[in-house]
This record gives sequence, structure tokens and C-alpha cells, in this order.
Amino acid sequence: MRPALRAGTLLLGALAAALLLPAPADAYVGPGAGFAFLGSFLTLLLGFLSAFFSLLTWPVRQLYRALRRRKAYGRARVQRVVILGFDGMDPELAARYMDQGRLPHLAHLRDTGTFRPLQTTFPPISPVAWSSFLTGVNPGKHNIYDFLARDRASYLPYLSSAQIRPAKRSLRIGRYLLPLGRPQTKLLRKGKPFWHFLGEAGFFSSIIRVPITFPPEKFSGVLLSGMCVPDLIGSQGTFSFHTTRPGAAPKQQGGREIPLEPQGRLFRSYVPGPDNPLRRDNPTELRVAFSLRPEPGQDLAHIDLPGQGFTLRKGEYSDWIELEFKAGLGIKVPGICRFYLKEVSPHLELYVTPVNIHPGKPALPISHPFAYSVYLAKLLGLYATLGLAEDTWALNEGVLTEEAFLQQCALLQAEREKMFFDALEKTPRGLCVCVFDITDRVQHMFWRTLEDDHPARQGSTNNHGEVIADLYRQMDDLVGRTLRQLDEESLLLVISDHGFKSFRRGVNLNSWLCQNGYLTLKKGAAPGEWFQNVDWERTRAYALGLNGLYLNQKGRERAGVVAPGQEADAVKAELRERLSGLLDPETGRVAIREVFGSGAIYHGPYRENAPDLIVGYNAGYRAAWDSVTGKVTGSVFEDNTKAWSGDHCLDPRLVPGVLFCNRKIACERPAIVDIAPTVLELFGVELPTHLDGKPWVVSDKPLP
Amino acid sequence: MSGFLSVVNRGFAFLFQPLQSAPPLVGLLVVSWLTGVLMVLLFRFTSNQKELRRVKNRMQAHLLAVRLFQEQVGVVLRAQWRLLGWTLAYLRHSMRPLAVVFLPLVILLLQLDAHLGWVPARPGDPLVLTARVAAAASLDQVSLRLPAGLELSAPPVRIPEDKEIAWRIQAAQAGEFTLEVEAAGQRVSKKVIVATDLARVSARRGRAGLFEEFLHPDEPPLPEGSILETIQVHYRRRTINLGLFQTHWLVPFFVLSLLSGYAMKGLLRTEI
Repeated sequence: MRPALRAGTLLLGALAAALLLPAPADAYVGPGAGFAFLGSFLTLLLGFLSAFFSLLTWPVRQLYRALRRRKAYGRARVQRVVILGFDGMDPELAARYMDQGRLPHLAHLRDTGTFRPLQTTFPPISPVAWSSFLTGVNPGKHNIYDFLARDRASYLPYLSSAQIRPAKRSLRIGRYLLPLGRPQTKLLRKGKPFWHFLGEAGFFSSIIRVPITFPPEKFSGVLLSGMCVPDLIGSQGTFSFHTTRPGAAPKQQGGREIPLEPQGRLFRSYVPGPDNPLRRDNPTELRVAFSLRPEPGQDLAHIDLPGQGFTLRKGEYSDWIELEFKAGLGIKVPGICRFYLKEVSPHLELYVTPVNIHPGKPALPISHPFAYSVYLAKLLGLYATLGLAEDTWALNEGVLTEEAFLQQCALLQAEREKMFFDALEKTPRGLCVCVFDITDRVQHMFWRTLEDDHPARQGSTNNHGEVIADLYRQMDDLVGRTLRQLDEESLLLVISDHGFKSFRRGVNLNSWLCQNGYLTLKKGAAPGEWFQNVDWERTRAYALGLNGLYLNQKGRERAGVVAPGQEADAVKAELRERLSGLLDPETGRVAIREVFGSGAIYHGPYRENAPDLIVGYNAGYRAAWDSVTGKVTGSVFEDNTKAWSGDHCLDPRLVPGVLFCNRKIACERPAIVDIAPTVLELFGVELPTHLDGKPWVVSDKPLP
Repeated sequence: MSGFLSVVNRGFAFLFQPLQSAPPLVGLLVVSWLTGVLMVLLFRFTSNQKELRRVKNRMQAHLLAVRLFQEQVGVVLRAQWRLLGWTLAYLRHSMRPLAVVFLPLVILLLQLDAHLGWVPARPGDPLVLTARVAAAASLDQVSLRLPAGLELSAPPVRIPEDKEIAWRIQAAQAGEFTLEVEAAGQRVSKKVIVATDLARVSARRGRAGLFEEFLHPDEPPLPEGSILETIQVHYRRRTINLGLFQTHWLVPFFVLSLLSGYAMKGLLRTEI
């Protein structure tokens, strides 16, 4: 017999033997075959059981829901509301580009439906405005006034939206402290999102990356948290920059520089992780070591991590790389990051994104239900979970080039579009909301490309003059693709939380307060960040965050000196008078249009947590970088030369957002706070009495 | 073929040497664990791990979708449909590793059956030996020659309708015996194992043929031209005592090898 024929016969014989043999083989299906068949069989079985159970109980659940929320959709004027949130889309720019014919889909909405400026909040900052969007109330009721709030005892800032603490219980094993459970997360935003009321009324919602939804709350639907989800080390995003260049960047804001140590042809470094949660007594930073082997001739480098390796070309991002930070006792903290090879020679430079919480194995809850983030990761692949994922600091600090930053933004945008369209498909009825951040981040970083005389443009060529127009065109295309998915029963809202203006000059309020006797430094001491060396016994007011100004009030602040009541009112009135209309001596322009007393603009149970005064900057001005972090400097005014050249933390009347709708809306001055009551009313849900927003009159007639 | 099988036989006999005096369950545990690990490694190197991971992720996603969107019947049904599609894709990706591991597995199973599937005759226990001939008329031409240590405990019984002749034999002591069946003047040997420990046995010797050689590799096929079709020693089938019940060795082997595979897949960085 020829060998090949014989081998074939042998294989056939083996197959026949396995199938026909009476005793050993006929019962056998593993382990090799078992892995495949059992795996797929179990999946199918689970799937069918799950579906069967779901279908079996569906009538019961529907009956229950129908009894509880009778005729929910019967009362609704729409079957589905889709809200596209374009963070920071500016109505003036949108109108300009529409007039130029660059935004056909938005222009179509404008011409046949609605396009209006959308009134924003005091102050016009994303966490504040989106909180008002989702709760339908003013900040006095939802308790978010800025990214940061201040600790009255220490005068130090903390994240205003969420608090993360170690697990409640732990077990001490030798030098280890084993946490029994997940870290505790607490949402500091008050008030219920309007999708909570929709859920109670029997409507399903899919909510993707709406800011200030971390930690996620329970409701009837699915939600992936957005802005303010921390990275794995607990910050709002800390990149690492690995370089062989000596003294490349002595201090990196928003990141860390870590040297690449040469070892033969290799360079060794590590990705920094969180502090070891098991070593409370002596917290040490967890790290994942990696080695890098450059190929200078080919402009690429090989990167080796434990259990995996990959090759990167210069100017290229890696896929999301899964990391495991080993804490001991078999406990691992999973995270993901991307690598970007910036330079191969003469110096090796590697940027690593902040380590994101792994969406498939989240160390903290980032979605509701918990499995939703896992579902998205399994369906669409790994994705950024960090709230502020576009690394604006890395561009600001010169670690990323403009091209690399835009490349990063594009990668993130692609992930979010996939999530949105999946949510849209999964929500044939009910509410679907998705907020896209790219509009905000790119305008922050590239506004200077719109102005030839912007201080941040000094000496540089404008290679990205069309970036913002392209961005708007990209969002318009997204609107077009969304419209194609909608039927006549779907209402589409395209909104933004605020608009944008140039940020040319910074105003250091703390310096002004110091120069005018409201804030006093300790004698002979140099000022530093976070009010270092401020003499609180002789300080009457201080500024913290982007628009907030606080009195150092007796009985409220630890070392307060201003008596509440008349004295406080007098200081506030004095500050309002002196700061409103503050002139920039260098330009002769008004830097601050108006200062608002919080008592006049906020009402609700959490008004006492608000800054005492809200500063409304004029267009072109904003709080100076050092002022935001509580540092007194020599001058009140300074040029803003950073890439971060556009902003919106101004007088809110200057930076309204946008409102587009595929139906006519009758309302003179629509505001972001009105959206919650409007959507509730569209679904026929009774409006909770505490809402501040007023529902708009929306036509029943959809677009032709 | 016989050369290859002979090497395989010797290899497995060598591997089983340390397990011979251990209880069968222990041997089964060790073999199952090793088999699981081996199969995982084979699976790893013969499959497209990246693609398999992607396909499995999609399967799990649609499984989760069924739970997450259970309020939306249309979505659930669509998720089911997609789940089915991805499951088929998973099976498709599993075909190559399955094809590769199939032959080694069958060989392994046959070897394991030889070692674990039968209980050798114990000293003093009667044992039935049968010989089947091509035509019932030739049954009278068949006789048995026993070696020292084996003895006939009952006269032969001829069963013409089955074309078989049966003898009851027994041994006083453990050992490996070679008896001879004489048919039409031609002598053919057959091994008989009498033992108290785990021992590899060969229950049957048949005519030459691919299946016969493959399935009963311990003894050469019957010579060409012999009137005999088979010679078979009727050992007892072994059952594994699992405390609450007794079962065929394949059942615990299947469960244990799968468990070992699933337990080790993480350590071996294998997607299965």
C-alpha cells in the first residue's frame, strides 16, 4: 500500500474505530473534542436556557409591568428618544459651518426641525451642566459646582462627583491586609437621573458615557459611566513617559517621566500602577515591568511585557494591552493601556496612556448592570474606560505631538461610535443617550488654530487649521448615520452642554485677592500649590477651581475669619463690585464681565456647598492655570501659551450649547435643565415636582 | 504498522510501570490530568488562539445580551441568532485542533483501555476462553494446549450455531501465560494474564486487518490460512469505584481530563 494511502486509511480507520467501537470510544467525546463540543454546547445550552427563561417569564414580567405602569407606551408621544451629546459643540461655529455647507445633516435638522442655542449652567462646566441635564435641576439640588470641591477643614480640593474608599472589611494575614470586597465608591452628585423615572414608568434606557454617572446607579436599563471615571491609580488620568533623553521634562503635569534603563541592546522600564492595596502599613507602588528593543534603522521597537510582546512603529499606537499588577496572595489588579512610540533615535521615547480600569474585569463598577461593561468589551473589544481619556495633559506638556493626540482622539471616537450604534440597536424603544467628548477636547487643544494672534501660536506654523472644521464635519456625519437608523417614531436631540471661546489670557484670582488684601501669605514664605503658606487667620477669600470664589467664613472653614451674615454679605458685595468689569491693563479689555452671588443663582438643599461667588469671565479670559490649583503668583494676568487654548469656563451667557432636533420645538430660551422634563413629558411620565426645568412644546410631526 | 504499534505499546507499558501497584483510580487520576494538560497544549499550538478568543468573546457577549436586554424580545431573539452563528464559527475554528488531536487520542484511549478497561484473571478464578472458526464443521478440528500453571477446569463446550468452542481454565498463581490453540494442525498462541495488580491485558487475537491490528495491537494477527477467526479471553470489564457508585473508566477519565484542561488553561495561556 502506498504510504499516503495507508496513512489516509489509517486515519479513516481511526475515525471509524472511534465511531463504531462498542466499548471505549463510542462514549468518548473529550478532552480535546470535549473542549470544543462541550464549550460550544454549554454556551448554546446556557444561551437557550437563558432565552427560554427570559421568554417564559417575559409575559409574566410584562403583565406585571403593564399592571404597574399601565399603557406606558400608550401614553407616550414617541416610541424612542435618542440624544446625541456633543460635549462643547459651539452654536456659533456650528452655524458658521452650516452656512458654509459643511454640515449637511445638521443643516437639515436646522431647516426642517430645530436649531437653537441651549442655555447652560452657572458655571458652564461639563460636570455641572451634564448633572443638570440628567437631573433636570440646578446645581443647588445636584451638588456639583465644578470638577473640584474644597474640604472646609484642610482647604484642599477633592473630586466633587465621587469618592472612593477601601473595602469596608479586611482580613489581616501577616504583613498583608486582604480586603474583603470591592473598594467602596460613593456618588456625591445628588438627585435622580431622569432615566430613573422612565424606568419606574416601564421605559428602557441605554446610557453611554454621560458625565457624572460614576459610580453607576441602579435603574431599568444599561449604563456605561463617562467623565470622572478614574484610572487605575485613582487619578483622572496619569500618563507615563519613558525616555532615554536626559532631563527631557523635569516636571510633567498629568503624567510621570520614567527613565528607560539600558541593558545591552534592551532598555528596561515599567508601567506604574496603583499602590498595593494589600500593604496598608507600607504602601508600595505596583508595577508591570517591560523591556524595549529598538530597531533604529527601521524606526520601530519591540516591546516585551510578561506573557506578551508586540512591535510598534514610530508614530504608532498599540492596541489596548492588558496588564496585571500583582499585589501578592494571588491577587491581581487588571488594567489596560496603549503604548505609543514617539521616537526611536537618537533618543528612545515611549508614551503610555493612563492605565484604564479593565472593562472586561473592572476593579471598580463602571457600568450598570456590572456586566454591561464586560458585554461591551466582549462584543466590541477593549475600550477606554477613563472618564477623560483624551490625554490633553500629554499634549499640553509636549509629550504627545498634535498628530499623536489627534490619532488618539480618533481611536477613542471609533470605540464610542461602536458603543453608541450598538446601544441604538439594542434600544428599539425607550431612551438612548450617548455623550461624545472629542468635541470638547479637540476644541480645547486646537482653538488656537482658529486665531492667528493667539498667544499659544507664537512662532509656530498652523498645520491644523482645519482640525475643528473637520471635527464638526465628523460629528455631522455621525448625525447622518444616526438619522438613517431612526424611524418616524424616534425623536432625535443633538445637544451640547456649553459652547466654546478662546482662552488667551489667564486671570489669577488668588494673586488678585492677595494683592488686594483678601488673601495673606505667611511672612517670608514662598507660595505654592493648594494654598501652601497661606495665612488663613488673615485671609478673607480664596479662589479654587475654575469659577469658584469662597469666603473664609467663621464656623464653616476651619480657620474662618469672616463672620456669617452681614460681614460675609459685605465682603461678597465688595468683591462683586470690584471684580465685575475687572480690566486687563495689558489689553485694556474687560476680563471679568460679572461676578454672581451664589444665593441668587442656586436654590436647593445643597446650596451651602456652592462657592460663595461665581466668576463670569469675558471671552478670551479664564482662570489662570496656577489660580485653579490655589497658587498665588506675582501677576494677576498672564498669556496662555499652552496648547489648551480654547475654553468655556466663562460667563455662561457667552457660551451656550447647541440644541438640534428632528422636530419643531417651541421655546424662547431652551436650557439644558429643560431636557429631563421634556423627555419625561414626551414619554407621558408625570413630572416630579422638584424639577427646575420646564418641558418644551415639541411638535408631533416628524421630519419629512 | 505493527512496528509503530509495538513502539507505542512499549512506550505506554513503560509509562504505566509506576502505576501498576497503585489503585486503578489513582492511575486514572494521573493519566487524566496529564491527558488534559497535553490536550490543552496541543489545542494551543494547533489553533488560531487570537481568532478563537475573538469568537469566544462574541459568543459571551451575545449570551450576556440575552440577560441584559431581556425586556426587548426582538433584541433577545437577535442575540440568540448571533449566538448560534458565533457558536458555529467556534466549532469551525476548533476543527483543525480536533483533527490534529484525534488520532493521538484514539491511540491513547485504546492504550488506556488495555490497561484500565479489563480486570486480569485472579489466581484460582475461572476464566473462559473462546475460539471462533470460519465454519461450524471445523469445530472438531480445534483443541487447546495449556502451558504449565494453567489448567482446564471443565471440558470444552462446542456451540455450532455461533461457530465457537469454549474452555474454562484457571491458574493457581499469577503470571503471564501463553497457551496454544491447535486448529487443523496449525498452532496459534494467545496470551493469558493472571494478576492481582493493575495489568495490561490483550483480550482478543483476530485475523489480519487494519482495524484488528489497530484495535488489538498487543498480539500479532492470526496467521493467513488459519481456520480460526478469533481467540478471545473473556476477562471481566473493570469498573471504577467512586464511593457512591461504580462506573466505566471512561466517565471519570472524561470528567477529570476536562477539569484538568480547564484548570490548567489559564496557566498554559490557552484559549479553549
